[in-house]
Amino acid sequence: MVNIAALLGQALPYATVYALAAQGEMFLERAGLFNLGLEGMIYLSAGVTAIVSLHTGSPVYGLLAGIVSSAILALLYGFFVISLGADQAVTGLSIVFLGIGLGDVIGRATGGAVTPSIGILADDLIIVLALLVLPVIFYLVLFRSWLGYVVRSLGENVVTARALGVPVTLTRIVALMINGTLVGLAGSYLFFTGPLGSRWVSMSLLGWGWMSLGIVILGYWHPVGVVAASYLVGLLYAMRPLLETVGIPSSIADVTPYLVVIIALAVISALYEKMNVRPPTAIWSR
Amino acid sequence: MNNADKKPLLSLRNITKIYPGGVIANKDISLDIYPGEILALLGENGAGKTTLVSIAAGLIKPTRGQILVKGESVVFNSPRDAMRKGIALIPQNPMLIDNFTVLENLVLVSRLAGKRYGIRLAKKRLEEIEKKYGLFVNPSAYVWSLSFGERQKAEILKALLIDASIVLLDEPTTHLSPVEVDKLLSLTRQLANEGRGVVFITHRLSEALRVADRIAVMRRGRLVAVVSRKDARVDQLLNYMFGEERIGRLTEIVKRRRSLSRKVSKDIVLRVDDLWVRGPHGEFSVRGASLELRGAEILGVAGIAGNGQREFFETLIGIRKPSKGMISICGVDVTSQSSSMRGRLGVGIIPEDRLGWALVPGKSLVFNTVLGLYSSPKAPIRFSIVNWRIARKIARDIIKSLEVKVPGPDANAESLSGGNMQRFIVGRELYKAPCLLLAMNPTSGLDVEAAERIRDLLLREAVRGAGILLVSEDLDELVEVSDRIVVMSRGRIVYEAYRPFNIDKIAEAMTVS
Repeated sequence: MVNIAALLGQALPYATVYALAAQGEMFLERAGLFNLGLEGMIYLSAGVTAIVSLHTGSPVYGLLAGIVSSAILALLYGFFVISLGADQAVTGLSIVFLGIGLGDVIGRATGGAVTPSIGILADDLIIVLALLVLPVIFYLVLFRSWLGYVVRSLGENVVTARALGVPVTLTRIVALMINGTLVGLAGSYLFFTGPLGSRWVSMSLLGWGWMSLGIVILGYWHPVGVVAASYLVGLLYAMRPLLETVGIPSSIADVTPYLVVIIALAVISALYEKMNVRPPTAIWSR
Repeated sequence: MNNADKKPLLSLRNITKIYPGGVIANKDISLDIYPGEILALLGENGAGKTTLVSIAAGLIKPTRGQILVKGESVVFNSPRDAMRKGIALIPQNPMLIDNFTVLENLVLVSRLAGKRYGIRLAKKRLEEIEKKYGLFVNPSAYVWSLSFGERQKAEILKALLIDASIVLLDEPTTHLSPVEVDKLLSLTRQLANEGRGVVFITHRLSEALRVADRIAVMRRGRLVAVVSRKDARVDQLLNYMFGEERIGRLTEIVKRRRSLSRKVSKDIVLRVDDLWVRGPHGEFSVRGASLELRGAEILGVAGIAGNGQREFFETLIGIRKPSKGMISICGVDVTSQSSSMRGRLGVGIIPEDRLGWALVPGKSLVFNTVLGLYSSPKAPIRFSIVNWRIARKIARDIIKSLEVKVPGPDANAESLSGGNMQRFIVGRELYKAPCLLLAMNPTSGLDVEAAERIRDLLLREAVRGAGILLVSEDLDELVEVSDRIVVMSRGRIVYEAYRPFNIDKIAEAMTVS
């Protein structure tokens, strides 16, 4: 018998990682930038969290250090894209490689030791923050306040926004900081509660950033949609062992979440196209 | 009105603007705008009017010069700064975020202008404005669903919402129907009567005479004269606008043109039958349009912007697929054919966007010649290999015969002025010796002389025997060159007229739905 309640519960930590990273990315894309580097930022943040919490003995310091490291990568991205006018795709991919490389060097330095983990209380707090508090805040800010209009105008038509006098650079730097913070939190949280549980194993925390990019689209750039999509993918992730018990090979079970997301993406975008709901029109613009 | 005892709201002092590349758009312009007056800024396209108001609105920084608002010297680093000083620009092409509702746009702008309007308060202010000025646009409508006139109303609402004391209107009547123009002009007067200073940019002398208290005339980046309405004389204003010797040249061109004669042939070069086309947001933009065009005939398509002409034109040139209906060119059904098929049939295309559609910016004229001709039987291409020597010769011939002012065929397409660019494009399309020429707003943004030369070229091509479909927002132009005019409104062809035209009837047809 499948214990549905347990399954729904098991999905929560996975959904939380996705929800944090994807909401950070959604906000940034609403401001017209596309940070392809999530994968690298999550990985670096996890590695930094590992080493700092091991050496200080404090998971909270680890968490903060992880966030800072990710925010630094976000700033680096901003420096190249906003200040130097570099291509967003190329810069984003560079951030991926840089983050994974650095994160691995740093994470390996722990030698695979088990680090102190955040307690259950902090764990629950982060889950509530990611799945309940943030979507409400993002919804209110983006769609119910004029600050959201400022942010979204950049994602819709940055040329017009600039001509209207919207402070383009400042707004985008703020959006990047929010992006870096949330993605960093996702990485730290992933390290503590992820599949390995507070122990660094090289190249074991991959794929979370890429999936988060897909989740932004699946949730159609809407905070509530993004959180719902995060939970759905988290649930698929949690269901993998279950699939194996019904005789599906583990290699196929492992790819199921990705497969489902790809199909859902295609269906959903076609559906929204029909309904005339458009993604932000100027995501890649400068 | 006596301005002597009033203090100016806005003073421009010795404003000079030199664009990178050395074009002098404004040279040493000093101008005062007083409360309660409408100042018409008159001049032909390219005279520097838009640059001047863009400087006043903080969109562009002047190279030299000073701006004073109510006697206080200011420096605008952003349009925000100008709005906070009470200056609102209503641009020629509305600057609104398409995927926002009207209300979202208005709240965004009033916040940037330093007004503490939330959504609810903005709504309330809009109701007050509606009562006072009779100006209404559905606040929850998305901007992309609005007509051009409505978008412009939304722009005016912006100015009223931030309670601008200086309102700058840049060619506000370009895309409006005659009825809408009347409403706009009386609204403008109301704004002035409330003590605001209004600047009304126009290139139409009649409009300036109709609306203004004072008329400032610009020519080639300079302020030539400022005259009060009661002292204004038409011939004098024309001289200010164009310069005496150019007026002589223009009359000569028009006289020569009127002497050309031609006979419409029997061959149908373009037949459109019950054409339905969807617009960018899925709705039908063209609804069952049918027409026929014969050789040596010029057919004008009139209409207010946004009534389906653009989609109609894009379908004819083959970059938009119709949902229903038939297009045949020179007897060949091209409904589902690409634009290269049209090239093979010898169709000349003059699109609205000179840079981007007609020419590739950053590439040489030789390159652009090959690109424009590539599907034509006359292309300098044999066995898929470009013969650059011949291509260069063709480009040089076009430059010579159409008097394109450019150092040579290797010049960057971007470096040409609008008029030269358009002459080159027309020359390239005429090189195809087309049986059909499709043109959309071919003279938009050109100064009067450049525009007349383009019209001349079109007429000569019709004399040679090509059928010409001319989609234009400039009714005067259509009346001047067309043999027949059809009017498009809400995607349908609602009216057809032959020479001699009754302009009032055509204008009326443009506004019925």
